[in-house]
Amino acid sequence: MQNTLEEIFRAIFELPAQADVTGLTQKQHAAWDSLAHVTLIGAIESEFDLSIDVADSMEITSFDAARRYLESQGK
Amino acid sequence: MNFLEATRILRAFEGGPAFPFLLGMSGTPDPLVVYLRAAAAQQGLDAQHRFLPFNTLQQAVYDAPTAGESEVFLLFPWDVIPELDWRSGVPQQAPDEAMLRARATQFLDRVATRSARLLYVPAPCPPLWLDPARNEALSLWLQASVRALHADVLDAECFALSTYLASGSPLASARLGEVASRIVMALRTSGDGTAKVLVTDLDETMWSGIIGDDGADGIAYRAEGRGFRHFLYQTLLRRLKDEGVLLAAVTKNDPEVALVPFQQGEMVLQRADFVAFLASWNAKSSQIQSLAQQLNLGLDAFVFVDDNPVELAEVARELPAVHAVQFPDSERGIAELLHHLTAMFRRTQVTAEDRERTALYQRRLEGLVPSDAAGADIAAFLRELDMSLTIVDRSTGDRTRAVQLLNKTNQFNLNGIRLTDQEVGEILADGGSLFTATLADRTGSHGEILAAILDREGVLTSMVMSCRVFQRRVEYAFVAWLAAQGRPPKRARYVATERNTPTRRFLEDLAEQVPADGDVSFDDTALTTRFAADLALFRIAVDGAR
Repeated sequence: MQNTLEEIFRAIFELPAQADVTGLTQKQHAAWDSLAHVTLIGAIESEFDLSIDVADSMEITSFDAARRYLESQGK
Repeated sequence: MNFLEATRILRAFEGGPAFPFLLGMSGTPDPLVVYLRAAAAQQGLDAQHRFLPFNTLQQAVYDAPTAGESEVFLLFPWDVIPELDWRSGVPQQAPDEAMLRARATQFLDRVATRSARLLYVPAPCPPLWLDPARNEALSLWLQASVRALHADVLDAECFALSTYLASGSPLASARLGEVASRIVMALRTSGDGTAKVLVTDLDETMWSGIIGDDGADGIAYRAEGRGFRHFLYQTLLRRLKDEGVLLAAVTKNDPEVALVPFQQGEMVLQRADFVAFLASWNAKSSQIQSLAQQLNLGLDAFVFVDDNPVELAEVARELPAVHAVQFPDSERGIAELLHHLTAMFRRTQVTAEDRERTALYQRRLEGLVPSDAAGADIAAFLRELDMSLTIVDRSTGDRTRAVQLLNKTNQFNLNGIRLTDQEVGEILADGGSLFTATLADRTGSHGEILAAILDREGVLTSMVMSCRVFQRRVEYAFVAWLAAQGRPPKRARYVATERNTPTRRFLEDLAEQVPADGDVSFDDTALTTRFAADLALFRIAVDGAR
């Protein structure tokens, strides 16, 4: 799950293949705007076959939060 | 197509003709972008999309279209009747239904004046009245109204209320790939019914099964069981043919094998229904191109239907003007396919000439059209597939699938000799080797597709490969890999069978002389260098090699 999530983050934020995204947060990453967030949530839903509730999607404000959310969903 | 698959398709895409279009939808389209670009790339096109500002669709239909830009509108119920928008909540008062319908008709009339392709998602809506039947009637009326404009109607599950409320994006994430493909397909579909030729694959499309491997008794095309959806497909093709569409069959096969089901005379379609029957081992793109030249028709008049995404991609890449359509692998997609094809070959009237068209063109062509045209730039296409080949030494351990493959494969089969598991075990106990190969590419895994046995002298005594991966150069890469390991096959024990012509072609590339039957000798030192380019097409992984 972690590798797939990292690949999603790199693709969404157009980062190099080796970029460390595990510390990435919405606050610190300017490219993580509202539109990128919509795309990110859509990509996570698509890749992990999930439907993320509105409240949960708003909590996903960092790579770590996304990882914890997926763990909570048994992914 | 999920998100990462779409990104991989885009990474492998080497570019193509520009494909500018406007996507008009009232919600946030951003999650669709990567899928749209990937769906266009699959058709060999470089998508250059333009979106409308959020919630401006109602106004946009009054703007003049941009020259040179195709338009597609993805409509939801609230685009036609704004009172149905979830984001506005349930109206405080019951609206005037006559007024709603009048305004909706006015909007749709305006849409109809444009040459835009239309897609419609019949999403569930908030209730306008405390009468469920009245709400349902309005939904059905809406759907009928957009259908009358030849809209491609998607299913309601393409809408997701959660993402719509969270971000304004109305599309369900799990369906983004499908919606993007339908948008690209709609844009590439002529709006005036100018598609003229339907080129259809045979195995797993015209019938269930593979005629070369399963034989006439092993395929299914009747109105029952696994053959049912193929029966439905044939009935539509029969209707299309009767109303003026030219049918052509294309298959990588020997003509005499591919024609067997037609000769039995029990299928809905007969050989005489086809203006051409293209059976050869060349790339399907070259076969279709050859047919277009002979019929003197533009490639944009051609629709190509195949179950295999790789064949579709090959045709899309080499002939971007051809509309490539996938035959579904389950009943779930068959209704959609039939309606999609109906839209592509839309006819409002049928003339006497239409009914005679197949006979007219048959007289123009000879019945069988073998294509000797060279396969287009197949190497470039194969590189884009991002193929990986996992070679496994199964001389010890589980060999169940390998033995199955050895005993069910006909077309690429070195000699047709069937072997029991015990017989394979005896060869291995005597110092022989058993290899298998698993192929994966950007479309997914094709499973274990090759098996080969070398005896203790290094003689290739068995080699089979699934016909699903023909023209991938897998067999060449495999022998090159063997040679690179210092274990080049010394000879191959070849026996001609009724169906193994593809194997003979392979051997003719490897050896100077190939007898009718018997051992074929290789210049083993040349194998590595001659087929290095084939080996380089793959990322090779090795598991358990000795």
